[in-house]
Amino acid sequence: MKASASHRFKLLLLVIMLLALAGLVAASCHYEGPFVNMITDEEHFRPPSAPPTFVYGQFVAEGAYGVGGAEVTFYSGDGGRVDALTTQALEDGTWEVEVPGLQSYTNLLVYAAKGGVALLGIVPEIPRAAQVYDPPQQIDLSVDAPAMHPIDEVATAITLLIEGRLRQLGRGLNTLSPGAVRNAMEDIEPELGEGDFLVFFEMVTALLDEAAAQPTSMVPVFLPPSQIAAAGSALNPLFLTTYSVDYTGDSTPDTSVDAFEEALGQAMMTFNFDVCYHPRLIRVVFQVDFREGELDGNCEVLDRLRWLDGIDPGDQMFIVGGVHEEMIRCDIDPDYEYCATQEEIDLTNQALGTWSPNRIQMFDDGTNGDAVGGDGIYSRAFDLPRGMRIGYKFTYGPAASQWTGTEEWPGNQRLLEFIDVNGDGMVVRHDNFGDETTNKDKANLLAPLRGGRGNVLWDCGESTVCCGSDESPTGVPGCVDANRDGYLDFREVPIDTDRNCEADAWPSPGPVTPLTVECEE
Amino acid sequence: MKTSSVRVATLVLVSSTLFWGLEARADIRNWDISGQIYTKWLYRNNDQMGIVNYGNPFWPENFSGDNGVGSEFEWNIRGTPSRFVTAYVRVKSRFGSTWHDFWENGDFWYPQENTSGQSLGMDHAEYMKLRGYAMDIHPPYAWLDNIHIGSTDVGFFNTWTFGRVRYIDRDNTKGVFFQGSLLDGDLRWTLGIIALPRLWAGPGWSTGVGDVVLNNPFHTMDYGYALHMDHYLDALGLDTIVDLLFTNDFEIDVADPDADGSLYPNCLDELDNAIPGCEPDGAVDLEGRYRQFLGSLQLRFEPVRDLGVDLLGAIAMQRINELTMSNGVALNAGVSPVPYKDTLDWAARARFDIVEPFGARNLHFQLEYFNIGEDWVNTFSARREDDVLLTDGFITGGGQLPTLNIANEFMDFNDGFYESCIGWHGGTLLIDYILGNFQFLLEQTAITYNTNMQDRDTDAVYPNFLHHQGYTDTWFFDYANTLDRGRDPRAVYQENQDRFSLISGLRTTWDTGWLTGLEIEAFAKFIRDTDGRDLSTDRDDYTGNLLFTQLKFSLPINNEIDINFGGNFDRWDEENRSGNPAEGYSDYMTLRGRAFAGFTFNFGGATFGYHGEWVLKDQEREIQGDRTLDIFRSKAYLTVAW
Repeated sequence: MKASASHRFKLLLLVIMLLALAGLVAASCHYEGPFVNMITDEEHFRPPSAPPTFVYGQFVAEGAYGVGGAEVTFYSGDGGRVDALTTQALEDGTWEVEVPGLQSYTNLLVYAAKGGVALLGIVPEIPRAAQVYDPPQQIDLSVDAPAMHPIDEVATAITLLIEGRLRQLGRGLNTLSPGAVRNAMEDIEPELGEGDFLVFFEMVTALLDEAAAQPTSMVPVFLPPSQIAAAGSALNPLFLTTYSVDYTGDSTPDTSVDAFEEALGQAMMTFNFDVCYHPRLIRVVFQVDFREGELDGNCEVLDRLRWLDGIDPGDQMFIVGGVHEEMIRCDIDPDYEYCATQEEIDLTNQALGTWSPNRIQMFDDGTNGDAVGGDGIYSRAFDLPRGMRIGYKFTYGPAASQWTGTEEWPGNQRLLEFIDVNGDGMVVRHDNFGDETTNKDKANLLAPLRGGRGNVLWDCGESTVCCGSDESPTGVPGCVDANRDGYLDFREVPIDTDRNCEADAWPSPGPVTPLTVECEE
Repeated sequence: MKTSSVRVATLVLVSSTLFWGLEARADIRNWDISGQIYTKWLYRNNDQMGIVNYGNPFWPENFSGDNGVGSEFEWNIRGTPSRFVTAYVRVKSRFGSTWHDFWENGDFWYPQENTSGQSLGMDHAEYMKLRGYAMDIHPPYAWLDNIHIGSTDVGFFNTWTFGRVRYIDRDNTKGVFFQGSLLDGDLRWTLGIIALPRLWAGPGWSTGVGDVVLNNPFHTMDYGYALHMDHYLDALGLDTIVDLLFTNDFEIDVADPDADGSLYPNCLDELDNAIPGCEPDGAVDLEGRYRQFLGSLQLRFEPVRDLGVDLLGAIAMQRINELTMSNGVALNAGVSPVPYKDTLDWAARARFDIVEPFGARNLHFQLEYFNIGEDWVNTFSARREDDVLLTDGFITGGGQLPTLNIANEFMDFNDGFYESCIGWHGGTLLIDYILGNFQFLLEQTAITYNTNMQDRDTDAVYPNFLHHQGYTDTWFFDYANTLDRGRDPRAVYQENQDRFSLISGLRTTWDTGWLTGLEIEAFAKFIRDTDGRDLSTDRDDYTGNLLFTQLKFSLPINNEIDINFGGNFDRWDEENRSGNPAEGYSDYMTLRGRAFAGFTFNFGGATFGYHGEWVLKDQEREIQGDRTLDIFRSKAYLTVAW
């Protein structure tokens, strides 16, 4: 018995020694890699892609205005055609379109023309999918916007009235919330039978009647929405000159759109849209131009690769940032209009990645606020607290990689305050990647001849442009408007679109619309 | 007892370490240095400059061509610091520069060749490179004879699992190997871990580099794990050999938020919702790209006198990860070393050697049955310079290998071409008979194909290597098939195939005894190759009647000089040789001839060899039109070793 126990002990010792030896051998020969991976592998889960959204609608199929079988095209609120959604109506006028789940639209105009007949409608809202595990969204226009079902002369008249009124106000459909548009539809539809609305509606039906009499016409009575702004009217002037049309009912052919526009204005003269912005959050659109050959604030060609480790396949554009240390917290100064609560600070930091680089992706694929896929301009929209002051910068490299070789420049940051300067209800900040002459806080390279003082400050005391250390509240000299264009460098600013080194236009928000909420009664 | 054992173990370990350490010596007597200069001349009556006829088939390079002379120097150093440790180093100059390039210094400043010496790059700079290194440690244990660390040609395994790498790559595979014996030496074993060569060992001829679905290929943890066991049972005279190989090509799990290039660096899905369980932890997980398991069992024994039996069974399995491995079949015009699917298949080979049966002197029969599955996949088999079947095969001069990863590249015109035997099912009979001064070697082989199938998916699953019709002419071979050279030797899969082949051959050698020992060799081979292709029609049926003949004279002049000369005549009659259903199939009648001569000269440590040949080929092509090819080419070499 004693001998047996001793034997077992020896055997155990031998096994332990062999295992120890095997361990040493494994460690020295890369045997350990697969084993360590086997033990530590968390089998990271790959969630599915966002489910698509299916939108259903119907143009009128019966009668003279039928456009069954026609091509159905869609236009964003600012008139841009959304080619990806183009589809074909069936003979009964029904149409269906599949929208990528990542994509969202508000107040899309839908248009179809057959012969001279052209009908328009509005799809108020196609929200982005909520969860990747959700079934595909189904949006039936007859439920979502009953006034748009079917899209006939009534829906067309309502659409023309809404579009025309906004155009006359100098705005686009993209400035309204879907709810405001739905309310407008509901308000206008019962009015079409009386007064000035009836006058306009009769014009529309007269025009459609004439259009229906031209089944082989290549000239539609109403223009596609992408051409309306340039033409100044939805009514096609070529249609009026091609065919002898008396849409005013005065027994005289009308060759001008003036009466049409006048009737529209008369009907909608006192009509107001409900537009209510979110009281605390504002939609912030970051855009970064990564195209080669862009000019910096010194009007010199930008070296966008100056601090990058080159451009490799798989590299992506990211934004990174966080709440600026000089942001005023509500627990310190609750009276400050834009003071930040802890909740708002957390929201902002989380959205911007809390200064963890290469994690918050910018997009150049036509989604997530990007206007044109593949154009070298990356975009991303966030809903963030109004008045928040942040530091941020852009990085370009592999996801989750580190700072070096991926950031616009080492150290320092861009400054931005979420204040709507141009009144479009949003903050749209357009930067050129690697441009160290605009809102870079320190070592700003804007040339002294152009006003540069090396630092961009939040506050220069009494000065509206630059200040010395004695004027600066923080004792740091610098500028709030170094280039003296009248816009604070740390806010949304106009940009140079014609490469003459003079800012000439506000950056377009692309498909992004302001963050609106339903107005309280 | 416990304390005592621990002490003894510690003492053994410490004393072993001290003993080995103290024994090490640094002394010039422990050095063994050898060197070799190799020079090669290539000539062909064309306009291609270079010193390797067939270079890299994929990456553009500037050293392959048919006219040039270049030299290389190789330096081998062996060291013996102690009786327990030996070391080996091979330093060799880069081969690629011609004698005319002497000024090139390796810089690559100019996109086009000029006289600066800085326009051809390192391949023309003749720089010395550490090509191989290995250390062998021989511990004083009965069960462990040797630990080999470093370069190896992996010759200890067999080509059904991890084949020997080709000669020019002999030091390029590196690993750690433990070799020993158990059961009083009856069981020899080798256990190894082998760094997978990222240049060729895997789908797309890489372990991830260049794969379009990978942004950050991770190849330094890719290894093969191999076990070889050879047991000899003396009582039965039974030799049992087991080879196992598992290879694992890892890639970064891009779903890991810590990974460079992570899909979810912020642990959010594409709709910005949190991914359950996703959290950065500072470690990056790996996931497989391509895994392969290969195993073979070989039994060798003599059941009766004069009968040798060699039985081999093997399995091959591959697992692909579509997330980390692109479809090389679909994306690379059908040129891929692996099918794009998970596979599991087997192979079997049985050989019977009958030596002088029933007392018949000088008569030797060899009978072989082979059956290799259609889904047999082995990217780690020998890529050339090996042969798993007895048959001469379709291509004389090379051999048959159970892989699509064959390397008919980095070689010259007179080196053998190798063909894939995946899917082959058949048998070979070889009869070797010596009658006086005559030796006869007769072969009869019949092959049907496990790859026979209708509507095989050669667009996205099975590689067909783009050019897959007609007999392969290796004398006029080119990668891009501009010379209409027939099927790629790796093309074993067709969309529609119903093929059967017969190979008959006779090689006769006559030692005449004339002059100083003239030997005459006559060789004739006939292949009957048929393929019904699409079975719904007979308009595409292929029939090849392929005749090959050669007459060769060899004469040793004296102890230093051997000469040889001779000629070939081949005739291939191929009905519906190549084409497609839409354009039809073209009949080919090919006549091919060659006259050749050569000699070798050995003197005082120098060896010089020369081979020159004039090759003529005449093709009557039904659709493409007739054509004649007429070339002269030669290769000479000089080796001086000391």
